[in-house]
Amino acid sequence: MRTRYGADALFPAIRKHILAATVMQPERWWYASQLARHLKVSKTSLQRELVNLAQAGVLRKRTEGKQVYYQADSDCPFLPELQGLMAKTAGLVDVVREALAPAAPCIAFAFVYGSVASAREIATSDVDLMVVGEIAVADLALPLRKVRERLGREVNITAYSTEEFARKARAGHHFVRSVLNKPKLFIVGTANDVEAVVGGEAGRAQARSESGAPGTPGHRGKKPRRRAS
Amino acid sequence: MVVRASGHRVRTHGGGHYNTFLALEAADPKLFARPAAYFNTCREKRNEFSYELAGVVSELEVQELLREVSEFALLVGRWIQERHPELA
Repeated sequence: MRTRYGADALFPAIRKHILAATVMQPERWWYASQLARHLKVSKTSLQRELVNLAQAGVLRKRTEGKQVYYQADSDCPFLPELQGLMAKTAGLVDVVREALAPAAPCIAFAFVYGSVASAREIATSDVDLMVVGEIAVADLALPLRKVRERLGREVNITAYSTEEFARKARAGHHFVRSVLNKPKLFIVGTANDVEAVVGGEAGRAQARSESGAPGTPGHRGKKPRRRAS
Repeated sequence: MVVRASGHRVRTHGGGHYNTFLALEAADPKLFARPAAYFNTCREKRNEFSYELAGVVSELEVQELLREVSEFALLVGRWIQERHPELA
């Protein structure tokens, strides 16, 4: 049984969290105290890692008065790969997976879709989460609130029973089909589990989208919200 | 009702629903944290999708919302009887 997720084995904890925060919101400038508060660690424990990452060209640094700000360096030659790695590990998938863990036995599959999965997100992009299984959104609301706090992004969950998802996929329901045809980051299960539930042509469309990965044509960018209440 | 019974009033212009759910949880965190988080999730979903896309609310979600609202109404009734019997 796997006891550690990928990023835990690859990076020391503080570095992992710094990378997750910065490269997943590449437009955002962080000052050290703000980052320390966000990560719930002491500022002193961040300093060495921030300096090392800036020296390595992963982060860029800007000084204003007494404040030193850090941002993911867009000139870093492996920034896209780092973003992909973080999205699949500490930056997103592991965080959401941890939140869904108590309900995992009731979940057939769950994945992130939309701009984040397509690697077209901007700093304020929401995380669109699809959960299929015999679950109750109310049971996930509190854990997902923690995900929002950790990622600093809204998380929009859509839940289907396996029966309803399969039925709507086979009937060509526009939203389900559109989700099936787009890139996904799996949180629970794999493309095979989707295929097992959906089957048929809808399942094959899913398999095709899996081979497409980020940047698949047809992605619809998010429109601004009209209002909030 | 919970918010009013707790002696507060939510200002309705701008963020009315959001503030209501915050106030609900604050009134009795142990009892209302779960429904407040759930209703806020529904609020966010409505803001995110209902003005842009049709058909993104599943049958499962509708059934759950109906169930949760009924249970919440009972919960509030019990809470008022217990905490504010003068209002029951």
